[in-house]
Amino acid sequence: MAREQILDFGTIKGRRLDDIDLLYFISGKRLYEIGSQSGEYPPLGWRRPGFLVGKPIGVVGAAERPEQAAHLLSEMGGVWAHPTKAIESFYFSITEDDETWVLKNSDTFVNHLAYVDFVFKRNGFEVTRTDFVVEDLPALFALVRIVNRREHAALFKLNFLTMVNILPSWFSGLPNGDDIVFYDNGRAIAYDSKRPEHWAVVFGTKARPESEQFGEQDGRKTVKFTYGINLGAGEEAFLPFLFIAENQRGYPEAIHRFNLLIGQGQQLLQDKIAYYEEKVFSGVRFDCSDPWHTMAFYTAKANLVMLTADVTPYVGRYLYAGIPEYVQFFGTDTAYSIPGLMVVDYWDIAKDALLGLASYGDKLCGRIPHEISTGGRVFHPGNTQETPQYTIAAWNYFKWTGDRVFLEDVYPICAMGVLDYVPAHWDVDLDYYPDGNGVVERTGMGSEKLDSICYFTRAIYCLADMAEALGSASDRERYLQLADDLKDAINADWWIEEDALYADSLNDDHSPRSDGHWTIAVPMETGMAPPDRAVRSLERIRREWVNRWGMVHTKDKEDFVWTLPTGVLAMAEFRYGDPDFAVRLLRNITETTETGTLGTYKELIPEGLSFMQLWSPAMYLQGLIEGVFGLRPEAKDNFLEVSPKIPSYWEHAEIENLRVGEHRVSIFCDRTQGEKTSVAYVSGRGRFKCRLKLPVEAQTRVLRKVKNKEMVKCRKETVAGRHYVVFDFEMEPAQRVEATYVRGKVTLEIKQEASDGNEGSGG
Amino acid sequence: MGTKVAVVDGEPAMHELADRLETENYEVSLCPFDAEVLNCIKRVQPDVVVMDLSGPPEALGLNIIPIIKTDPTLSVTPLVICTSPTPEVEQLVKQLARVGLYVIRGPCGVDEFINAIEQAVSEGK
Repeated sequence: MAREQILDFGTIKGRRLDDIDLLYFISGKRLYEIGSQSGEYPPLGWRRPGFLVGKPIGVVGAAERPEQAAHLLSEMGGVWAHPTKAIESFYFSITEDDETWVLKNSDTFVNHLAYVDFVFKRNGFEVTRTDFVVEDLPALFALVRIVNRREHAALFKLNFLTMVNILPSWFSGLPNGDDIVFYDNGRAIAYDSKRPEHWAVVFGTKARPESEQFGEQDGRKTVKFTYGINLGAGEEAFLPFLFIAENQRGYPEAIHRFNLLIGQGQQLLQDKIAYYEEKVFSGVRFDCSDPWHTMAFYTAKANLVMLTADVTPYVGRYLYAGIPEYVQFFGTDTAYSIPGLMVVDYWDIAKDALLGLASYGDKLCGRIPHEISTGGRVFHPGNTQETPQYTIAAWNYFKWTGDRVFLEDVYPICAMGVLDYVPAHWDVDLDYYPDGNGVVERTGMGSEKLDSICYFTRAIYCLADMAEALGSASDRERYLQLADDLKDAINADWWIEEDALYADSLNDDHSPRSDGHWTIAVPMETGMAPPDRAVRSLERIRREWVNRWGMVHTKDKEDFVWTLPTGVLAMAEFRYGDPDFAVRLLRNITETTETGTLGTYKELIPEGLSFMQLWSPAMYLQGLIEGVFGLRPEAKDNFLEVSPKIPSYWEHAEIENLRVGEHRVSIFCDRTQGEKTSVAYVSGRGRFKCRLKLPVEAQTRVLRKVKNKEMVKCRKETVAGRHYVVFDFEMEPAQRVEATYVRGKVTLEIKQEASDGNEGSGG
Repeated sequence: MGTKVAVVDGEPAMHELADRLETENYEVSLCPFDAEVLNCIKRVQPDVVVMDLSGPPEALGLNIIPIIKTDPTLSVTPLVICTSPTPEVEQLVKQLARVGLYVIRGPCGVDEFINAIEQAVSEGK
């Protein structure tokens, strides 16, 4: 039987009939639930040595090949409050006249992202189970509503069946004892025998069950509560079921919390919806002439909210990297995702995640780990590129926020990691090129990887900027010189002129080697390539590495398309080349939201591996906002550069309430009557400096319709054969600067957004 | 209805296998070995998936296995692969025997495939 899958959250909509059972994910910061849309909890989790860190078994070290590595095989679904699992599964059934209807095959599944509805219909009964997680507490509600649509009364039993599984997470280092389960005052109480004072689960509803039954199945404790219900014709019954997980203060705390929350299910659901609406649809808003991208923008924001985790005090606040299996704290995934979090003003979680990684980096002499278990242990201490990528991400955070305290905290760790640890630990032959795995962890490549050296060099540029921001001009000069030298070396040693490509690795004799990996886009993503080489290289990549779904992993060898290379290539295209193609690649990433589970950004395009993957929505948002609007913030200087790169097939695009330091600005681009770009200073303190860099034809004239032309500085620039008019100006709150480009002339005006809604000339 | 087999179409020999399976009353669907392979297999919902990963480069070909096995609708579907007996493959077999991985250590002929498919089907019942 086909199931109707509906996606319905504000303007985010979707609908499809599915012949197969798909997964869903709902979460709060401290607990999540993963199940299938039928109402089942299939075995999930497929970790095993060899793919633990994404590389073939032959090259995985002994430390990465522990006997117990597969202990979470089939365990990753259910209800988790990291670092412990709480519930393996639960479901309901209705018994009437000795016949039992098991509610495990929903007719309709509605995903509201903040909550989900399972709808079951049979014999005049309509049952809706609404699951949601309280946002900041380890609490899951299942609100059950039963409607009797018959013309007569119905007397039946509702059964609530739960399988307990209190289990420490993968490599958490925590013990796993037998689960003890007992009945208390209408509820079931479960705790772990090895940690009774810490780990517990309490579940039930307000009403006491008519009967309770405790058992064991497949080595796990089961509980069955039965409630008698008498419903008149057309009447409905409502029962809120609640699960409280506790992994710090044991079951007394869980009981206390259960008693506080059990009567508030409806209100807490409304609070949850309001929280999601505020996080997703308020704050930074986007619109464009392609409604698909407008919806994809809000869907991406929602995905980031759903992936936000708080596993304090074990590993702190961070973002799950992939659902269901990669919920650990990852260095690379976080670093790639920071720019996307910044453009939508999710600064708090970005900062917490960066500081969390910094605390590990501090202990590891500047090395940023690849993967940290939810129990807080370092599983994989990091490849060559995580440490540089961290510095790049930290600088990105600072560029948007101007948060000097943050920079002062992380700068020493960044400098130690990039300038000391990476060369000392990975530069085997003292050529400044790190030796070892980078983002691509495949056998057969040379030991020095292109992505590693590009991110390393970019990180040194960032360190130069950090040093300048902190007032150390001499350090800045040193770092800049080193980065420039490395950039020259990359272009001397790695560029293969006859191929118009960079080598993806160097052999031991330093000869360039090409294995067709997607990392050939990284020199363009990171700005290492001179424009002429970038243009040639991108042309070849577009021709030979891109298929209908995006950028392939390895040309001629592996046609699978990951969102990550596709997003990296999109940013490279924005930097040097073709915004039309960049937006096409972004659209590829969004296509994952309409395959499989609706509304989730996946790891592979069109579908595969994680069905929610952090860097997919994050890189999409980075491309859509930073890329399309050409943004370069410098919050410490109250400055933003805007250089729009709107695809030719869009008539308009706008971003509202973009946050730069303490300022909020909105940017509007419209080409229905010429090319119009305006920047509105929405709110903030003091003056705000803006640079508007507009692509124009060579002989463009400029008209500044302002009282004092000194208020707006103007110059022309030519970069890689492309011509720009560049305006520099300061703005005050409620001002709007509008540039119109029509028939070879750019006209710039400053307008005052009057409080009564009228506009007046302020220039 | 016959046993449903999804044959991943990576090597020419798989066409011969598909023909032979059809003559033996299997219900055969060919799926391309590309980005759409997962969607194709999911549409088929087969009783067994069959792949020839003996062509180079095997390390890359093996990456299809997690893509299939991490999908909840296919996680328990038996997977028959043909590949060379490298240490990586032997580890894989050891780890994944319990989730239904059947390995023919190449070279593989149609008969070897059919034997493995029959074993996978009988053990899966």
